[in-house]
Amino acid sequence: MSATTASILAEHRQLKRRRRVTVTLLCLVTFLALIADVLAGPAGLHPVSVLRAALGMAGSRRVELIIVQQIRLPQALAALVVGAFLALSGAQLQTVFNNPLAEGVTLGIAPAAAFGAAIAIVLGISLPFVPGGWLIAGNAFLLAFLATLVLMGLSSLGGGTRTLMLFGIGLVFTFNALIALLQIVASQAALQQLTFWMLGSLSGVRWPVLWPLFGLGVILIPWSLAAAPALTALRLGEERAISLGLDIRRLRLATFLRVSLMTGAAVASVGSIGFVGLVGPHIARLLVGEDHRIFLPISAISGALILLLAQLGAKLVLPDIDVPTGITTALIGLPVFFALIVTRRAG
Amino acid sequence: MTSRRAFLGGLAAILATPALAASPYPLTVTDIAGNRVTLAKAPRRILLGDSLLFTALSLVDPDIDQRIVLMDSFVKRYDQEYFSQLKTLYPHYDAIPLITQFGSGYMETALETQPDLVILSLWQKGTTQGAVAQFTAMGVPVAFVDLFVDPIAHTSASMELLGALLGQPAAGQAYARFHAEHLRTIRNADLTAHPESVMLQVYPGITACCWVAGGAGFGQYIPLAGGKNIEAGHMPGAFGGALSLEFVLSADPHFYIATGLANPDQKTGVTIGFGIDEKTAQATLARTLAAPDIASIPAVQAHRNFALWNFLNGSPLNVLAIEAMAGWFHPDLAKRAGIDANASLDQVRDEFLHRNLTGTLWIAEEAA
Repeated sequence: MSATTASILAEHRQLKRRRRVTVTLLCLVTFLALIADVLAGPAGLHPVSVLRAALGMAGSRRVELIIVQQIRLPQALAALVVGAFLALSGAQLQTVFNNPLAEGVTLGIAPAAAFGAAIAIVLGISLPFVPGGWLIAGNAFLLAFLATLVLMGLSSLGGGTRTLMLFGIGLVFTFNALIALLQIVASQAALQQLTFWMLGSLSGVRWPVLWPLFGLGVILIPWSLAAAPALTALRLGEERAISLGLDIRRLRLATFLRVSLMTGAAVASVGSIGFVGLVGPHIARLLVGEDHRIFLPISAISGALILLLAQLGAKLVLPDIDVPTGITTALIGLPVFFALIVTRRAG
Repeated sequence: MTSRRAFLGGLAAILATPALAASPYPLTVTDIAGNRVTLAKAPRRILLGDSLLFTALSLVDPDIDQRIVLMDSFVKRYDQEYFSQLKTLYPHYDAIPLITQFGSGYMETALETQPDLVILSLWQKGTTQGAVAQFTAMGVPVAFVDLFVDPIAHTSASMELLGALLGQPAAGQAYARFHAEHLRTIRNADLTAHPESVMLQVYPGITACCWVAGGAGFGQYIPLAGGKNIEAGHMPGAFGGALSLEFVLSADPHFYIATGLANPDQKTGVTIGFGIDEKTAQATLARTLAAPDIASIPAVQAHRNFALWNFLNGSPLNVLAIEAMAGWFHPDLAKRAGIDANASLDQVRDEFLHRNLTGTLWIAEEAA
């Protein structure tokens, strides 16, 4: 073995070791954020009481049980799943579009979902078979899915990624205009409900909302991770990916399908939360690079961490007020993001 | 004899008409915003920038609908049954042209109606500066009244101001007196010695749990009625906001009050207000209380639940809402002091409104 090969191998081993440390640390921090999120709250419960209530042990007061089991746990877990969904969607879209600005919000998928919600809130129009409590979520999910179908259709017609991206931005403006139109005819109550919905909030999440998210996660997260090698190849350039025998059209369609389901479910459950889908993947890229086998899971964990920290931050700074998570996400995530960019540049 | 009596009666009637009485115009008054407002003659073409003020105007002049040439569509958009009652009871009400909101956006329509008086709510001051400047420059008087920002301090003064502006000073003063007397009775009833905590949720079932009243509006009524708003001091603004459910549970309010409007088509929340019967209000309160988040609040489970028509906030009938609350929080003290919101509503109807405006403005949850 030549000295050069040995040094390359050593470097590779070091890289792997560094990645392992990064991944371990990130997982640990995310786990701690999850615990902190369950421990924190305006009721000021003692950690032991929280633990006892979480485990449903005897001796917990009824109000403690409600606070921990019905409010804190589902919200913290929702932050985990929704954050992961949004960032994992953003990561895949950025690769498929070969554009660092691609994500559910910039491609019109989230605005489509918001328009769906607005139709349900303002006009009361929804699918006939959707039960009462799911009207808004059902509409949001459907419209997100339809918007992605349109993008898919355009993609299969052979539009380049730039055309698709522009088309997505066109969708953003169209849906925003339609939402604005609904806003000016909305009743006061509907307007307030819509405004809150569009800011995105985890505070309304309870177990019935969480189960479908878990169900989708069990299918879509492994499916996304299974596509990692193909997406890594695509990242090297379309031609090279084709030369490796990849069916790019199929890869793109499958990615669209996964992304529409994940973004649709996330937005339908908690409203529009921007930023995570954009920044989660960027943080992952800064930490571990482009190999999608590691980039995709780290994106998902970064997204989950951002949302958990956003929720925790809101609880610590304004404990009594129900601050929409969509607001704190950007406020808390941005400094982290900038710090990462600056330190990486400096490094 | 009969003809003489008829003659004297007719003469008395003629003397009593405002036209023959000494005209109060030209008139200069100071409005609630502190501006001096001068009216050269009795206003015949009034632009009402806040349609929720209609009841306040009608308490002073029961035929006020004939003098309004334009108003905003707030009431029509937000409270179907209140709007339809007003339409039935005031013959010209339905013919009044509507704009979405008073402000720069609808200036052409507003100018075209050639108003000789513009009446606005104080809360609109910030958003209507351009429009107000335009009318003032044209010599059209603009007057601000307030039943919303600081209702306890401003209701009587606003009603007197409306009376003066509309050429019905005695009616304005009479209502101001009614309001002040009822407020005095409430203050003298010793309700505040042992205040119980209260959560007043605005539009539950429609907005996320738990949007509550702040220090203004309803927030001013609660302490007067002998309650303690769980929101007090927790929101940066005076108009309330969304408290987290966890905070609400840990604050453990003793009483729960929901507000709603009279829109029977609405599938969630409380339907209450003018034009709504008690049965509907009770049924919609029950469905609101059954929603999981609200049902988890101990006060709700203990059935210490009430509902109010939301537009009692911003209404000259605000004192009636305080009376209703006093009756809920401290029934014995309220009874001893003679506080009876329903009797007050009858009095307002008979003595001031002269119209059979009916409905359910407040309810206590019916025992199951």
